[in-house]
Amino acid sequence: MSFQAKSTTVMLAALVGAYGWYGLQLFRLAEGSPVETVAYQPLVFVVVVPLVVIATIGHILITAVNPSEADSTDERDRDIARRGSVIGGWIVSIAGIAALFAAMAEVGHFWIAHLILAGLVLAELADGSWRLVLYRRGT
Amino acid sequence: MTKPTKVTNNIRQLRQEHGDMTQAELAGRVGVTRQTVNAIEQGKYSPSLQVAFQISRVLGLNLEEVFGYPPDLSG
Repeated sequence: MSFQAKSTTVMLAALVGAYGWYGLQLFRLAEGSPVETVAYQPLVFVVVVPLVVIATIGHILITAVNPSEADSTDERDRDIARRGSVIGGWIVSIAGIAALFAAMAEVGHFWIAHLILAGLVLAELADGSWRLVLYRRGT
Repeated sequence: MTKPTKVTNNIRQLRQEHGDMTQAELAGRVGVTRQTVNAIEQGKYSPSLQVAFQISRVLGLNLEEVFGYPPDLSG
């Protein structure tokens, strides 16, 4: 597995870990009340901490295993990254349009914010997952 | 499941004929990762024309002695 494939795996794990934690915190803070009543705004910023911690530790580990390949990238990595970004771009666009319609329908800001957040996170997950498929299956 | 590329090659055999050159050696001389050389050999990745020329040059051969493209796919 190339360094970039390992890096993509680490980022996927960080995203799942961090936003899994975010979801759990939302439901924990709701304490049985409707989830849209939670003051989610601080959590949106705090979730960056576990994301960075998991990603940093993961990258230190994969670099330590094979230091000579650290941060190596070539045309295949760039091609795969481009293909992954296309998928991610579609998801962000769909989430943006969904958020626009939600705003026009005067849905609560909690749901609009989370439509956008979900779009961003799902885009990254789809991007990374598709990259791993392409690394394994070929382009 | 592997999606085969249309471009074929015999790099693995040619490496062996060049003093058992390793994938890492070839990759280093071409400027790509060892995994990319492996993917090219397995038909999982079609290299750019530039990398294809570089691989051929390292192996001391012409492009079409290293890479092939089936005639029925050329149209």
